[in-house]
Amino acid sequence: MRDRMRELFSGVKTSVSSSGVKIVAIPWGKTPKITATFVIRSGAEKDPLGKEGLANLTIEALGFGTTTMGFDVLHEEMEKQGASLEMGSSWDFSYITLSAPSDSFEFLVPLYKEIFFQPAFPQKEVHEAKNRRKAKLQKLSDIPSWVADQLIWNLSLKNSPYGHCYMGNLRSIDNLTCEDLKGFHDKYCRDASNVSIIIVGKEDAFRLLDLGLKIVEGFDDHDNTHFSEKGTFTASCTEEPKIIIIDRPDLTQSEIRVAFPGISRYDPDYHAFIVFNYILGGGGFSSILMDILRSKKGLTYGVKSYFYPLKIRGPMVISTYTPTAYTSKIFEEIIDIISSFPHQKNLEQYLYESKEFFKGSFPLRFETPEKLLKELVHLETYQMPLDELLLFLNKISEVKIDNIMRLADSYLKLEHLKAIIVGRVKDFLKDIEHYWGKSKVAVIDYKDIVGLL
Amino acid sequence: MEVLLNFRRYLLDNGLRVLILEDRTLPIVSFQVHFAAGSRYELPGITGISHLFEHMMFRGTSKLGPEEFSKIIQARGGVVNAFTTFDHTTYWENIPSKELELVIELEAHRLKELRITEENLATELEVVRSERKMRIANTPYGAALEELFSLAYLRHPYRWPVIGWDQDLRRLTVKDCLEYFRRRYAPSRAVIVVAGDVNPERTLKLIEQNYADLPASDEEKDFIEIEPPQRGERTAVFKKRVELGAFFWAFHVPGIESEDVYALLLLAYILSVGKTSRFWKRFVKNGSLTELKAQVDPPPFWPKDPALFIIYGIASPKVPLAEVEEEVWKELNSLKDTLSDDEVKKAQKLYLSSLWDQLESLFFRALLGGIYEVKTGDFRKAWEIEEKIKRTEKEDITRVLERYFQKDNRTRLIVEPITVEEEEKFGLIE
Repeated sequence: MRDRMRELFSGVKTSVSSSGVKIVAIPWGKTPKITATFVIRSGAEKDPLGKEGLANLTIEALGFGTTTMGFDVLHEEMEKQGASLEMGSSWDFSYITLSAPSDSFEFLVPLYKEIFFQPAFPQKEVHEAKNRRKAKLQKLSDIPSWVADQLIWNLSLKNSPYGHCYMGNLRSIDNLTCEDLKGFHDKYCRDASNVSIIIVGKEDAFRLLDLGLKIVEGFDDHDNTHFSEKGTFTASCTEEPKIIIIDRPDLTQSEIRVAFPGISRYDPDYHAFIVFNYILGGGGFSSILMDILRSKKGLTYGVKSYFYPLKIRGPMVISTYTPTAYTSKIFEEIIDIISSFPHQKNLEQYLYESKEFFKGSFPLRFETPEKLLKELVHLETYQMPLDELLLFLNKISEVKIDNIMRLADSYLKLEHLKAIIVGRVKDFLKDIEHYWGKSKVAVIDYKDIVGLL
Repeated sequence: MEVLLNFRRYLLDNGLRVLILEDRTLPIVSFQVHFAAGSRYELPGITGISHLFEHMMFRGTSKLGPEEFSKIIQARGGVVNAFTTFDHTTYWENIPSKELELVIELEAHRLKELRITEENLATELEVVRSERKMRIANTPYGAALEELFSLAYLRHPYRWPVIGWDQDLRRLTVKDCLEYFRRRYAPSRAVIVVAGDVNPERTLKLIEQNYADLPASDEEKDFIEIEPPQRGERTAVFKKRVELGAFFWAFHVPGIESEDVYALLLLAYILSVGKTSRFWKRFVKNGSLTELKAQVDPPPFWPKDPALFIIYGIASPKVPLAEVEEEVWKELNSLKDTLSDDEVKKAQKLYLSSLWDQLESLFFRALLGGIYEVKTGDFRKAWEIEEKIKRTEKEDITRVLERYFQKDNRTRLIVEPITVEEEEKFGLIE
């Protein structure tokens, strides 16, 4: 199977434009489409204090019009060709993707270039976008799972450049100006060393490479400011309280998030951590959390663990929900599972099954151009070679039970635990306080969460 | 499309249909079993049993413990799951091709040796009730949508949610499950689909070895209540503690086999897909509404029986909802006079472009074939989607606009925000 994957990747062509932009071209797909993605190795972690949401709004605003073309004309030109323009920004990266039928892709290249290189950031459009974003945040703040996800993130990474919502918050969005957007674009999107382009489609690799070169032709390297790729911040884990409860008296089910400091993407334990996470809660029914909390005890429909390997140490999170009456019980069960992880029966079997899962499911990760693109965006964000994918299975196969035990011992420390519960507090507060002690628990009314984002 | 969906179709003596698609690009296979077993076939009092039964299929057999089915497949590199809709229940595994034989054996085994006990049913009922809260009760508009369907359908089983009413879930028994299994899981109500890195002849042989001994059963006739035509607008108010109010409109439209499906699909695109869509340009971009969408389930998920075309708008924090709602109605009505050929062409291109993206995956191709077969009896109808979309003209869209988008055919639900204190008086949503 590995040979088959190697054969697939042998079609990949890479090049560097005269201005220094890396181009990756991959002939892949069954249907007549081509997709190109600009990867910018900067995201919300570059948001200045008080201007949270800047990266994300800047990238969205690239679609608001160029120096020669307004919003409506730009999107009309795209959509009448059946093309879609997608842009977004996460923590460590931003992207602008053009996906179009093969017969119209080349026609759209000049427009795609213009969007990336000559955005106008028009005042009216930016103003409207800010209002839309504030309304969206208000809508999202009504969704308990979103609130829990957002707050555990903020709590885990508090006081770091990552400790805020990447969309910004109601206050910071008001502070963003067109000049800010232009500044972010100049600094991070116009630095050739900070940008790659990936192009995938059912075409010959050399044609794709040629299209990639056309896209970045004339890249005018505006800013050569270099910045550190690897952050040094370590998430704070010692502040009180440990558990924040958002009171939503109208809910019949509590959303629960439990977090510990995790690892960075550059950590040598990265592959062992993938396996460790699969065993704990990332592997669905093959994970310990799902086995005990859903399959054996019926306490929840869903429980999972995941981790965010960022340029810095991102959190490891256990995420679940349960009918209100079981809130304290499921929390205690999670603590039991964490505490007894090294003594779990059949840990060797879990390890074996997890490694087999990654081995067998490996080709599924590249089945479609969209999935392949996602893997490559990750590599480009963290500036890793293609070999990182090819060697993935070797690295997974090298994980031993000792690695798993060491990770459990190092990372699942109760003294570092942080938790968020969104639910009907009067039905479970006493039990939570009894278990953790009053000083460790804070309750916040749902109307005040906007201030926490 | 025909090339990508070129299934070979077989029929076993017991009535089981088999579709096999060979695609050797990668060493993977999507294996799916679709049963004509969705909430359409339920009765009041046992709503949600189709979905509950889907869960019970993972709770053990004569030789497998709870969820062991999934664990075995995952430990071979497979991804496994199932889902239930109005019309069907689908079990699927995306696996390395070398594991196909094992998966066929396991899937056939659980049909023959399923074990449902009081104990594992009780555990799973709690799980499903938690799922219901996650999908419905604890979302801002989930319960309102349930009410919209209950109001729009007076007779047809689409009036209750696939996941079932909470009070029904509480009283479902082992006997109900076994009876449901007997009625709905006969081979003649099932379609097996295998797509990917397979040898069709050998695959068929494996399926015959494992499934041919399932006894054919005398199919009981399905009595599905027919929804009478709506004779005038229905309006309701749903009060709930939400941040933003909303309106939901539902229009009765035909089922998946109607020729009107394609014009309605394109209409949904013209109204709300993309930054040049009518709704986005007029109401969302300027912030009059936080969200405004026209929604139908695209094939193969479009319902078998007459469906609902839903338009919903979520209020903006600063604009009165009632005023905007009226403007949306005017915009919808003006469309038949202002629609251009270019708009239709754009919608066609956008829809097909999105369809091509989905066709990249074996899983989706298998779903298209399998669900069309189980809903219409002929998977080849999926081949026609592309051509029928291309052949749809402006006149087809104006015709469906005039036919279905009348106030007499509309069910309208307004979600009115209330305080927590008022919410307490109504009682919590389960």
